[in-house]
Amino acid sequence: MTRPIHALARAIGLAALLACGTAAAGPTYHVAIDTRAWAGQSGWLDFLILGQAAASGVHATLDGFGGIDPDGGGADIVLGDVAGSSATGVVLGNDAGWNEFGRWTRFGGRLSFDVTFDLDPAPGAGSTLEVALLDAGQNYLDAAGDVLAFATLPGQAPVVTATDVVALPEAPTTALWATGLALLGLARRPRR
Amino acid sequence: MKIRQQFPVRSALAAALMSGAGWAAAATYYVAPTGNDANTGTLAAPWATFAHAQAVAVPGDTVYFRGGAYVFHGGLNQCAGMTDTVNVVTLNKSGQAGKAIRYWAYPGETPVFDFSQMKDNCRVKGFNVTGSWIHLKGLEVTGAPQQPGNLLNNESWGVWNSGSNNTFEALNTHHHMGPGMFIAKGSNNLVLNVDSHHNYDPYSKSGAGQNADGFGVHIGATQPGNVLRGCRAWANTDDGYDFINAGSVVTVEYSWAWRHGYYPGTTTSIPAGNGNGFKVGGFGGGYQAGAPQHIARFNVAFNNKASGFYANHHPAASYFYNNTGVNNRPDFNMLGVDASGAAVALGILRNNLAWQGTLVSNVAGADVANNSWNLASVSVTSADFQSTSLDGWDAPRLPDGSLPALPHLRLAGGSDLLDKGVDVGLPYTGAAPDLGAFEGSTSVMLFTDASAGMKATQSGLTLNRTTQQMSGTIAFTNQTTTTYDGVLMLRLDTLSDGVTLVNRSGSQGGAPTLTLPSTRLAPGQTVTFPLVFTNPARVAIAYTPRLFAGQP
Repeated sequence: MTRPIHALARAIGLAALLACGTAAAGPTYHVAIDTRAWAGQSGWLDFLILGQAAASGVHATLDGFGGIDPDGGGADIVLGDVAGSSATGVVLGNDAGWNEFGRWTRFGGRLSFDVTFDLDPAPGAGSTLEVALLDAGQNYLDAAGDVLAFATLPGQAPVVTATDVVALPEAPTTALWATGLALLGLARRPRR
Repeated sequence: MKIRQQFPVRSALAAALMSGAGWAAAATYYVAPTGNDANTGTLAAPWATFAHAQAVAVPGDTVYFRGGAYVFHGGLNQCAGMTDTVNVVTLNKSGQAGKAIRYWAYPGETPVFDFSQMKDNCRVKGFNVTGSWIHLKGLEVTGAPQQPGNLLNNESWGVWNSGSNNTFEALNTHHHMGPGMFIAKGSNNLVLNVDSHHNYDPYSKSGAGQNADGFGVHIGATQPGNVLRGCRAWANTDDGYDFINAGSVVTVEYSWAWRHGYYPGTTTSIPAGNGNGFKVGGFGGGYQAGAPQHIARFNVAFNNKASGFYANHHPAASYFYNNTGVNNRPDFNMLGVDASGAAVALGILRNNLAWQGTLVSNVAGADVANNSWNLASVSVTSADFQSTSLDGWDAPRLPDGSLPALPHLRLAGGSDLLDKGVDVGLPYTGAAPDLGAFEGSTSVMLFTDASAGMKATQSGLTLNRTTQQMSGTIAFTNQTTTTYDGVLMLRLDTLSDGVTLVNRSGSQGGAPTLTLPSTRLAPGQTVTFPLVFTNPARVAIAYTPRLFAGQP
């Protein structure tokens, strides 16, 4: 079952914006996925953005990968508008019709990663980043299909839906939000 | 919006798939108003001129013209005298059978070729097509001029053709001082889904307005196979379609003509303008042995100053099948001429429908049967039609260039004109052909385009790996003060090749549609359509969404 977490996502977006102080950068999400249900299997932690010709530009930066266990049973998937590397951060865009990055891993533990969006505010169609767990035949492992999705529209924070195997966000981010808000409050105190 | 250069790839792929050994792939080039002939002719670096494109293109190639104005201030030659002719765009390089040279509008855009600024003091041919196996598509052509004070000529021309095996498709040719589309010579030319309107020749020596036809076909003998199909002519000062002096058979079908013989855009008669909808033949009133039997079928003529369908003293009996004439003077006039020069009635008329105005003249003695005026068992009233409107026939064409879907003058269920025709070897439904231009009584809803007042929001797409289908939504928010209450129809124009809208409820002009049968969309409210695609080639899906409101 998936659950919408719109309000939470907006809060994350606002906090991330305040913390880093850059209007251009989009929100950062810290994601953890519990894969114990598929222990013993291997496949891909897969990221996909389907492009549309009328879409505004979207770039999702994926980094901070944790829990990946590349057992040598398969290769990563890199298709379409994909730049960077797992080590330095992968940037997944929407410039082609099919934009996909998949990390081969052995399941059973807790997979984690960070994702940050750079959203072009120009008018246009939206884009959706889909996150799925795939088996070696590129079939869904989770009965719901995607375990997580970020639906973006120009000028708006992503709308996030996730299944119960996804934990989002992680605790450390909250402290960072608080710090950011506090700093912002001090900066806006009237001067006499 | 991102524009991707997908066409060269597709052309190259198609050519590669079709090619045998030694056959070079067809090339695709681009021309733009802001281009430069020193460029490479790609989408990113387009050329500027038709002439350069023709110089490079070879049979099988396609040249796309980007939207915008191509304004001409002079032609390829100078006027040698006041009765000379200046050619502006001459197409004299031929393609080959099965490998036409295509000069097409870039999909979704309208290139406009404007000759109205020219000051050459003689006749002007905007497009002078002398080559063969050429295909023009989607171009707007306007303003071929005459010059004030020069009354030595009879006309200029928007598009003039002397080649063979050419296709003129989805052109919009208008506001010329002479005919919009003119076939002077040639065989097997197809004029498909072309509009020609508001043409008026004010400086003709034979009288103002005497020569501006919508379509003129005046080919010689042994030049068969010329067809006009799906065309519209309106508000031209002379005739809609004129086949005078055509020495070979011309076929006009599924075409419309209205408001001829008037100053364009008015109902004020222009004295020299003939004002016929379809002038099917004739040789200036004289007899000519071996004259062709032209074919006019499934056409509509209304509100013309003179005849809707006119034989024009033709010496042979042309075929008039399943035409509708309304409020012409008369709707059908079969005035012919015999070998002695005497006036006779000539024509083979079946399954035609005449209503309002003067129904017929000069039909006594012609081969006339099973038409609305000579069947005792039928009477034509407004109740026979789904709509009797004579307005809105100039509505935008459908995405594939075909005529708009209108209920006007289509037969209503229960009409006594249904199945009253006779089999003439043309397709029909029911027990027998119906009378008039539109077969059957299937209800046609009149839709108006409501897109302009809507804010469209397209979601991202998601993949179902099990079905390999891609899903999303498009939402329209009503930003007008109008409340739409009834049928709403979404149409996806220019949907990417290879992409299918799986959940479509129908199609219109080749574009898939989704219809919501009973929807209320008040100001500020939003309606959302789900979209499900298959996209085997995984292309970036492109389409132009259009929202239409049905009128009960």
